Amino acid sequence: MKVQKIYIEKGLQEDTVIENFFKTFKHAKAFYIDDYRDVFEKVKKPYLKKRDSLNIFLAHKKGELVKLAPPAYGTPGTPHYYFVHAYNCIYECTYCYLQGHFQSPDLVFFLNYQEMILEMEKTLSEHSGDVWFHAGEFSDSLALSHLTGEWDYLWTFFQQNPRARLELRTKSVNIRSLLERAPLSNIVVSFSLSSEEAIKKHDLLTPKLSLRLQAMQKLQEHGFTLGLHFDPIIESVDFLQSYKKLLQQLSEGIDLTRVAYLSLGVVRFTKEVFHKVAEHYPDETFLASNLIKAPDQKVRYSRAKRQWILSHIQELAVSAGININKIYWCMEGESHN
Amino acid sequence: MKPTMSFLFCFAHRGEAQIWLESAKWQALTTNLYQDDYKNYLLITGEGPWEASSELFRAFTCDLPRDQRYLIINIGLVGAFAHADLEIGQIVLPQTFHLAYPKGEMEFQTFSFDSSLLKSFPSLMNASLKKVDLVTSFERHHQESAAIEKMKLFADVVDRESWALAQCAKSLQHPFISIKVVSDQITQMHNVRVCDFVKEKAESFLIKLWPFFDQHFFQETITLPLMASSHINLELEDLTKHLYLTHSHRQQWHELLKKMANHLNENEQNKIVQNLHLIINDQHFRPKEKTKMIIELIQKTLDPEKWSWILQLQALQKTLQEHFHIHLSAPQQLEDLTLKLSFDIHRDQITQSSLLSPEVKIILHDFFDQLETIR
Repeated sequence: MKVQKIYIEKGLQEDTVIENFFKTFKHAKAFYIDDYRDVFEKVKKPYLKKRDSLNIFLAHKKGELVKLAPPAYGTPGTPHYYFVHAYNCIYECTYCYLQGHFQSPDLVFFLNYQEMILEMEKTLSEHSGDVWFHAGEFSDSLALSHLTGEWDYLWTFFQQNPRARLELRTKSVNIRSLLERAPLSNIVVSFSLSSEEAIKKHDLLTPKLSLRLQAMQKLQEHGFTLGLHFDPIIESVDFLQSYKKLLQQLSEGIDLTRVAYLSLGVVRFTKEVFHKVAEHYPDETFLASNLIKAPDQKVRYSRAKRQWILSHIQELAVSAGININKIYWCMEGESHN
Repeated sequence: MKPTMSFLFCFAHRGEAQIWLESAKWQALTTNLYQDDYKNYLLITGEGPWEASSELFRAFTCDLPRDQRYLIINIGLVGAFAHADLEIGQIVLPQTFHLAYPKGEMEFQTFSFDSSLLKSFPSLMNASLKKVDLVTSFERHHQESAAIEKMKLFADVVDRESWALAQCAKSLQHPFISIKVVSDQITQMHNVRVCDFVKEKAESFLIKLWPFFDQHFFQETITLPLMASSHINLELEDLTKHLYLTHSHRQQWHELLKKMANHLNENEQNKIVQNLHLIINDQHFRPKEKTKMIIELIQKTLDPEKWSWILQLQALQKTLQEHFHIHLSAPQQLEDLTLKLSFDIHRDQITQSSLLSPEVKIILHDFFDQLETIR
């Protein structure tokens, strides 16, 4: 990753994490700015420029810090919220919605964790039961966490608030800081996985499957609860066979009966993202699949095909030892028909 | 066969172009456009984004031969911001082109150098030029240091024309490359005198660029990369000649070709071609009918599931119409599990209708009774 510039909001010069970034990206130049929004998305930066050069913004998140997740986002029956600790990602997944979401692929890290945690506290107080908080809506939640250092704050908050549940969603294997803390039962580290072939084809720059499986094994052995996301599932000639193999590989390293949940979702895009994907990856095979525009305005496989894919993968997962009650279909509720 | 292309060199000032003008036998086509023996062109655009874009557009609309691909090459000088660590005389390759309005306000639209173009210039790729972000400034000099402070947040070097040329090149669909020499460092003291000095010394800076161009551009036989690769059976593309295609059919046809290229291997495509020829040669059908049949045949091959449900839907429509006089509107997809049914009913048929509940019958009778009263 070539980081050329690091933009720092003027109020944050003293923040200790800034040093971490300059130690890691030794050749990056520092620019001090009033507000990250004066530069980030101020001019259009093409998504694929991330291959040549990335800039980093260290900023203070303004506006809503904790947001209600969309329907059918997580396990049913519990309110789901997400907090935004960063924008954009170091990986390059060809189906990623971030390529149509921001006008720049530059990385923004929000360092006001304490304010985010106060907001989570407030949200929690509005509910009597458990509340889920998800990290990683606009960025991988662990990929650069050794630099950003929010984990310590999160761990303390979730230790003190067992009703609050945290999902750290990742494709990375950056788990060292997690292993330095005792596991908490209300924290789930969830891994987005695809078959080995699909990772090679679509999840560019991400750690390979074997490394992710090793990281998962280490976390489970340490006592962490794991979550699984098979999302997005992309149909290919032998995809069922590939997922069967993936489940086999998973069961060799981790105890699938202890997995908190498995979410299944098929590839889907907003119209804007679909056009961006077509522009950036014109040879992607799923672009020429028989996709339709569903009533929720998303471009997806037809309902019948989605049902077929999801039920077959679900069958495979159950056969591999995952309790059917722990499997849910992501973004497949009534409103997504 | 790959199409060859012509170079179109664009310079802001005659001074910058001098070494190029002297190095080859150029024939003046207009006061600022020249052509050499190899059908390469050289354009003096004038300084500033408006001047550059209007001159380039004018050359394309009035003077340059059409039906020819051009590689637009902008050559010139740039000032470097201190953070970029560039040396005076260094050759740089701009990657992103920004535009700064007066007072340093930035234009949202940017243009990027298409790095795949370097594949056509292997030696240029190996030259490992320093890649920079460039901002084209609307103003020749900035009185306010705040403007310079703003621009340097986005770019490493500044010039007066590249963004505008990149914009034109994109509109005209010709590839664009900009190669620059650093002439000075931008400071808050950057003023008119510095700009004039740089302009006067342009030739001496750009002399350094000439051997570079001589080596990387003129010594190689340049061919443009082919347009996005496709694996579509050429015979399929050719079939349109035998079909009657409306505008929307044509769009549909191209979409289908793209899908076929991604989904079907060569044997499968050849099989389709054989079947399509059978339809085309069948004298019983008119061209319009043939088009419909062919499009349906391809759709069926590509999405058999969809066609299976369309057939089921058509059977249902027929049953509802024949036995119950109910019209079923065919939805595009059956995504929300909703069907739209409609039927006509005469006042005298209400009582006997098996499709209406007693409550609805009462409401409808009341309605017709009231209608009578109004009359």
